[in-house]
Amino acid sequence: MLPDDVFVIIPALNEAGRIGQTVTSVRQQCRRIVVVDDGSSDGTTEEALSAGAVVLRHVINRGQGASLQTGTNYALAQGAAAVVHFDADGQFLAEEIPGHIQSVLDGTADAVFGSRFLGRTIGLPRTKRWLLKISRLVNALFTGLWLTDAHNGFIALSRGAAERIRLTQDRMAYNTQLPAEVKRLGLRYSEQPVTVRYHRYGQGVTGGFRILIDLLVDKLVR
Amino acid sequence: MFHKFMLLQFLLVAFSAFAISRVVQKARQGLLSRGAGAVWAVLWLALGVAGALPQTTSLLANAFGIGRGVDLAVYLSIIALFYALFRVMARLEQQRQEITELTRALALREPRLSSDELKIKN
Repeated sequence: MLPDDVFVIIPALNEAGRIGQTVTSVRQQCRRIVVVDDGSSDGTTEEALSAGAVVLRHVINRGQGASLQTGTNYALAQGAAAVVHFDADGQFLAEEIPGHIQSVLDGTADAVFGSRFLGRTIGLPRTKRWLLKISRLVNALFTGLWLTDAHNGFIALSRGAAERIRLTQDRMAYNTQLPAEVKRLGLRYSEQPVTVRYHRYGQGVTGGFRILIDLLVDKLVR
Repeated sequence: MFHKFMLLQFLLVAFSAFAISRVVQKARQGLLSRGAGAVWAVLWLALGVAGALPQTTSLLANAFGIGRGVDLAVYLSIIALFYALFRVMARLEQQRQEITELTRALALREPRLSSDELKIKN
């Protein structure tokens, strides 16, 4: 069981029927679970609470990036020494959390990025694989970091990293902003093989375009 | 002197007068700030002058090295529109962030604690 100053943050939007299972499996590894209900219209909050998580509720949907930042703020206020970002839908394996966070806990890294290409994927649709390769390139252009898996939500951060990184990209573009911040702040990072199981598609081509537009707008107006 | 007045000129002047009256009305109602009202009033006035005395646009255009007054008006309008669009986008972006900050503050104000978490904290 991970120490009580490690927090797992799970952003969730309409994950009733899945979130309970996810929280329960994470609970085997970590007791401090923060589910951020990003404006769900189903029983996500209640289900997460029953399973043993703390729930922070966004009254309006703001996006995964915003949810993670909210959860991180809470965790830091509770004295977190490290935080782990974890998906609500069961794509990640809770058993991999301790391994993932190891180098943060022993102080050799400030940020650990999960990589399904270093690890393994189960049921990855072919088109999605190509989309990910393209987004890897786009990501490298925007962040200056070459990661093998551009948009992997399984991320571990030390307290120092979590305090210094402020996610202002509310939606999926946070996945690009985060490594960009790591680079800008000169934080030590590493990649960790992880398993990603697919039952739903996730970001498609239109999703990818939306992310690109968010990133460009950011460059244009700020 | 036979003065040929184009329909467009008449419409431009009439519209300009109408627009200025609306600006004055909105400024009186407090919906437009004095500064913004002045800017818009000047713009509509310029439109009216251009309509009543189209020679002015040609003079101005030639000063810029552009042939026609109407071409100059179009170019200036496009530039102004791009700038206005940029300002609107920046404002929207700022508002997006403000809304998220509010949503976040509300969420953090009332964390829902499970019985497990209560045990850990106590």
